[in-house]
Amino acid sequence: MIDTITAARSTFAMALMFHINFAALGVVMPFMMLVSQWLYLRRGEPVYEALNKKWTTAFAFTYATGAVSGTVLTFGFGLLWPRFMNVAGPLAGYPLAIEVLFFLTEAIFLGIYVFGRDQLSPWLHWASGIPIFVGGFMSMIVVVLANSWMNTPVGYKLDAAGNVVQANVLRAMFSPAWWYESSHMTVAAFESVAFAFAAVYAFALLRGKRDDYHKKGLFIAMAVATLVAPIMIASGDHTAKRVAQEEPAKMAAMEPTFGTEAGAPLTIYGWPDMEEGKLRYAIEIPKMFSILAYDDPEAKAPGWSSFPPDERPDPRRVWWAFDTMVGIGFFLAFLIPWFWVAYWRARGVPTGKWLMRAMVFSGPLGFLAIELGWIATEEGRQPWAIQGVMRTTEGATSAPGLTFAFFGFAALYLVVGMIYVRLLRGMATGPPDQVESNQAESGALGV
Amino acid sequence: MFEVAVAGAMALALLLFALAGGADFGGGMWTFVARGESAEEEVSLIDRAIGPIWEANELWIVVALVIMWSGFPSVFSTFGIALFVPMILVLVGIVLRGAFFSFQEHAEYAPVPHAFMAFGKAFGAVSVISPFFFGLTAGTIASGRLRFESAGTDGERFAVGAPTNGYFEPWFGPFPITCGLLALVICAYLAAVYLTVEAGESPDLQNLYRKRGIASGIVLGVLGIAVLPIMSFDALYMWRGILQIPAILFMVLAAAALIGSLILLHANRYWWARTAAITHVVSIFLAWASAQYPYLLVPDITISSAASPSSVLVALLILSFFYAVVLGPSLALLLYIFKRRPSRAPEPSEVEEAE
Repeated sequence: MIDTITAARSTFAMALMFHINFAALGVVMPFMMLVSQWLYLRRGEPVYEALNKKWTTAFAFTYATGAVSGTVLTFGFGLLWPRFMNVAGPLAGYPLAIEVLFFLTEAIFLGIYVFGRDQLSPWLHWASGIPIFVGGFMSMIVVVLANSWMNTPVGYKLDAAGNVVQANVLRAMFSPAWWYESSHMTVAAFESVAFAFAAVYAFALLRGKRDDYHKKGLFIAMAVATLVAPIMIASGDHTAKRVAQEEPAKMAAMEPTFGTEAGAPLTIYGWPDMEEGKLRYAIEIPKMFSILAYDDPEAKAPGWSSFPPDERPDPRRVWWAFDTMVGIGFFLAFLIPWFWVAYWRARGVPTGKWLMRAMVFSGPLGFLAIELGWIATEEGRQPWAIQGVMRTTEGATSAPGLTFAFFGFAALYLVVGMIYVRLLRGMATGPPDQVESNQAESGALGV
Repeated sequence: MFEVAVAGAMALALLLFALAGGADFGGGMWTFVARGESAEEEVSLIDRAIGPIWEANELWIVVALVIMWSGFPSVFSTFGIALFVPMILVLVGIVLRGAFFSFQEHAEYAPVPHAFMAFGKAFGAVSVISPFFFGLTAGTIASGRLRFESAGTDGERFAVGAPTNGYFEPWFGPFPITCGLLALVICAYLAAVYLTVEAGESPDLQNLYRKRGIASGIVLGVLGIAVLPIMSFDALYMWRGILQIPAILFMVLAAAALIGSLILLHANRYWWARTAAITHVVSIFLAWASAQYPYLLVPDITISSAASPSSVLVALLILSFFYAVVLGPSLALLLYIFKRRPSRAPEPSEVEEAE
């Protein structure tokens, strides 16, 4: 038997780590649908329409799975964290109530978009896709508002027993962390999904399917990735600076500095030696941490040891996730110039083996970075569920049988996830025949 | 005053879940019993009828939950703790049902033959889980069998409380279990009646669901009568409430609507039969709600004792307004487009394949 807290945390972590991928896909897949259909309407090339239809089918399937895994989270809040929700419900729970409205809007317009293809005029049909994107986009923002309140809680008053007696819903929604968290998550969604799309088409190109359909699919994905990858670097920098201000203990665990020092170096990897209280074997860049986090090479960075022992996160659960996430961010950004240089040299979408392999590799890496970022922000807040207010151990349920719940849901997610992936692979059949024959003609003209 | 309005919004979301989501679960049950030559045709009809809308239908329960945790957080925590077992089974049913229905919808991409019917069978089999445990949970809440000792102000910080009679005993009793069965039959009945309208172009299927609608309606009536004596000893608060005005008037209306729907089905008046069926479910719901009022958990938690600070309640009412303004027209547009679809048209996925 696993103890209740571990079982509750593992079950909820599993549910969130499953759902977060669908949340990212739910924002960016509609965007990709809008882009491909816009290109089709402007240029009239059937290959764009074929891509749009494929992406629509894949998204409808993805949305359904995401709706189900999202419902699990709703119930999970009450089943696993009832005591947490008794406090957070009126505060962090309110943006989640807004989220469901956006999510429902997304569901309804997805139905309109799928069934309206033959009934609405082309541009009106395109426009009916906009609420799908807006619904997904806003869903993501308001969900992250709930999480940012947990990191930087404001706008409430509790009585001695811990019940909410006063609540300022608006202040709680726009807590200090709201902007850096929600913007960082949104940009991350765009980047990882764009690279996931690129990976699909790069995989086909590697397999020798070097037709216009797969090349255009890769091109659209890389165009979107090119727009967001630089924003991600800026967003990462901004987020780190703000976390250093608003959540210093988390920062000290992400970038393990044990003692408080002026002109702290930036450390990469290594191993946090908890007994000695220092980071071993790390690559150090002198003063860089102070520059990055505080814009001042001599700035003092509060070290991990300066926080009370029962109020600081364990760096060993945080630092590797943070460093790997940053590493993936730079790797993805590095792929962009590589792709465009190759594009320029090939005078068209490149199909070189190593570039394509790197692209295929980038697909899972983007999602991995999202998971790692989430691990860093959640583990970095421990031992708190609500920073400075409620410990995670104080939020969990007293109901029995959580071990069964954990293993049961693990099995459930495994089965559902496997069938989902298998059917999604079944969808990747390349372009319909008709498009292929058109393509041969346009190919001859050198388009 | 605000708290009653918020509770009303939550009740409305639950009612929509029963009317829309409930019928989808019922559709699953009819998918499961589809056999013989027309089996594939039956399953396709259900697939077409609920395909574009089931996610939205299912989300009404999520709407009810988010209103509950923002507006009545202690009720949400209490249910989460005391009804842990049946609620987690509701959830398992929702996950399995949703996943397998969406697999069925996309079965053409599976690498094996007959995936459509195989996923359909799975979807059908798991469709009984959620309605049963949902009805059981509702029955437990209303029966007074679940006693919850809320944590006092001098206890551990953030403590909520605990059920005084364990995690199984409150729901393992005649009234909750009968409510679970009632919920199952209501779902099957609603789905059959809706499907008589959906099957407009196929007289055989229409007739099939007409018979099934009448049969499940009769079962529903018998079970509905049987639940009353059970209520009189196992759900005393409900029993007292149901005999008072207005609950008793809603009960009479519900009985009349049920009988009316059966007569209309028999007379092949499907559109009107559906209206009567919806009236029946709405009346049952209103009778229940007025009998249970003002309790959210009979008899320990009331609407006003659990309500959040009024600023949160006002925020929720404003949000409810936006729900109505945004979702009303959007749903109307979806239904308009969906129903205007050319009859017997190939499915969009098929169109895609053909192109």
